[in-house]
Amino acid sequence: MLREIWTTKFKPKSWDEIVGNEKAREEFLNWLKNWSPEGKKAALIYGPAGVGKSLTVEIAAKMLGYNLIELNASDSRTKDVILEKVLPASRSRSISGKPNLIFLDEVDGIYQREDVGAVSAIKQLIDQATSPIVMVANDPWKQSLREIREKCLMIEFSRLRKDQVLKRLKKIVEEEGILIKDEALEAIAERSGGDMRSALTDLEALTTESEVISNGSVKSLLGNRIREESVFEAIRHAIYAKSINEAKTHLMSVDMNPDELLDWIYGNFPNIANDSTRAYEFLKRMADADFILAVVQKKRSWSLIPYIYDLLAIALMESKKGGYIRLSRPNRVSEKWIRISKSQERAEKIKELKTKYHETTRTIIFETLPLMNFIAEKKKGSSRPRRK
Amino acid sequence: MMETEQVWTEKYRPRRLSEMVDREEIVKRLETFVKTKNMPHLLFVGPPGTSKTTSALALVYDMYNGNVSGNYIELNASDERGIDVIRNRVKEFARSVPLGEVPFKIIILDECDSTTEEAQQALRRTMERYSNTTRFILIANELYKIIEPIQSRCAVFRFGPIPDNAILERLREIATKENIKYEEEALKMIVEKSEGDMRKAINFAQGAAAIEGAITVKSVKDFIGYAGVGKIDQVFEKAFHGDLEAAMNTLNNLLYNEGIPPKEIIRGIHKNVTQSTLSAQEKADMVSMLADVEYRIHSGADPEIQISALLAKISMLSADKRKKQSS
Repeated sequence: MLREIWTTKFKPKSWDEIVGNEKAREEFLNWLKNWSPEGKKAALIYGPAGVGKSLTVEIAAKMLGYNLIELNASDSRTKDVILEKVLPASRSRSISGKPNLIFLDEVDGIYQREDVGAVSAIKQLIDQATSPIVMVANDPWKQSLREIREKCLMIEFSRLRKDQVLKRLKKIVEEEGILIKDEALEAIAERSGGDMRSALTDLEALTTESEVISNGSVKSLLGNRIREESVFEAIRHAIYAKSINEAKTHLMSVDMNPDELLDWIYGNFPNIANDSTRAYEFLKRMADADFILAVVQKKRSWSLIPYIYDLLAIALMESKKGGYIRLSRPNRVSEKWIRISKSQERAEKIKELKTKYHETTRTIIFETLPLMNFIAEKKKGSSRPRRK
Repeated sequence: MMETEQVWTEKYRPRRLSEMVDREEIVKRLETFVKTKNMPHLLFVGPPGTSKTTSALALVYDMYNGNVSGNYIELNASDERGIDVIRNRVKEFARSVPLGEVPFKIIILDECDSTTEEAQQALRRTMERYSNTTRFILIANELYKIIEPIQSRCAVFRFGPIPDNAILERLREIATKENIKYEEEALKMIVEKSEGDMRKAINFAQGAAAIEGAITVKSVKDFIGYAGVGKIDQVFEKAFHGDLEAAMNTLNNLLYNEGIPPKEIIRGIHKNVTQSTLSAQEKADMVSMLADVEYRIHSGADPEIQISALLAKISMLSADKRKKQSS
């Protein structure tokens, strides 16, 4: 028997089944209903993953009798495809006589290099189309999308509330007769961070034929991915927190030691602080927090830990606001072990050379090693065949 | 790959006191120790590349007439394993009787001035305890960093910068032995850039020779531009020109790929700060922060995060400056 994944199986079929973002959805529906070539010809729906952006487009199209022409990141979205295939469609009706609705999903995934000329092609598409165009993105504030933004009605979707996610999960659990403890269901909703798709995926992953799902199994089975998402979530919440205490509460809810949390926040520095004054303030807080951490670890003075969270919270609250903040797993976290082993390897090499050449560490690092590397490089260079 | 190429500083290091040309006064006194087969504890002080280690090794060689094995050890005081390890190794070494006619063994202890006062106190006790069977040759860059009780137990030898003509002569000699062509101007340039540091001069010469098989003004310039310290200047310059992210990337490269110690990076930034076009007040602020950052790293804080904050401040100050100038 064919088994659908749950995000498909439980996908809402009607407008009223969609959870959350009522106002934003209404705004989109009105734009589409009243669409005319004289008004805004394109809309850009943006917001975090799993909050129903694409779903809203799909269901609205069905409700209002549009033929949806969709182009997502897995399609090739070069200039040629947009101008030769999509543009003609935007200026005509479908065979069935329905009007077309052009849907470009994940437009922030358009990369200058692979999708050559795509951005300027989209601009041209908007200018020449006689059908509505809707685009969806997680991060609409990318520099490359600037000119497109100006031509669009911007509609923001926000994260779902925990109770909204929970309500939906409860309904599914009841319909399917899944054995799950209330607190486990709540844990899934909590950790989803308002991402319905991830909540459904987690619930599916945890459901077995017979066993009762407990809170413990949620934690253990959904380890890393959720952990990663929960740290991003906490960082975003802290950025928009109204008070230091609120920001701290979010940060302390992350299942991580303060040193690891510091690495995650520090490592996302380029995504969080931009101009030079903010960059300094942000990095200064990080450095202060890091120093307190060093004292905590050295002197075992655990009572200093709250100050670390204070500084992290303040650094985040001071940082840039507005729009979606893209966060990523920092190199600092991923490469920690590689770095440690590399530096050990290096230390051994230095030790060996120190004995061999009767030199100090400083001399080996600043003079002997650079000299040896330089000579090795030159040799490699000269052994290559010369072009005539 | 690297090992096949001998480093010239080692290849041409004098083995015996008689081969040393540029330290006549010191050599004369050291030769007396060899003649009488006796010596006090010695303390060699001077800047890098002024033949301190070479003199110590040559003295050992002559003292035991070449039979050095088992009669001396070479230790490094700044070794990360600390003073306890040194104490144990000295104990172990001093336990066995010296071989041959010299009634003591020699311990060469390098980088003595990089250790803490406590470590030096421990060292002093170790020196006393084993002075019947061992003699120490302590090596340091700066005398004031050595505690008085140690200074008073040693005969202090000061090693000044090597005179320019002695370096020049040595470079010519090595180039001839290596069968490498050189421009006289290039050698003079090396001498000038190495500021009395023989090791640096020889390294410059070898690096320059690697470029096109000859020591030319151009190859000397190329190599000096490549050598380590220049990269720390780049970190500062990138931050100072407002590209904080690039500065931080270079910093990471220095810390994690090149393995430059954080202290050296701070030292390099310090030099750049004091020479920069920042105002006196700004320089003072930066210097305080530099001192603070060094202290923090010494206390166990993370070098990358601490130095990044330092770079962010430089970047901010220079951005303010540009803003003021343009308005």
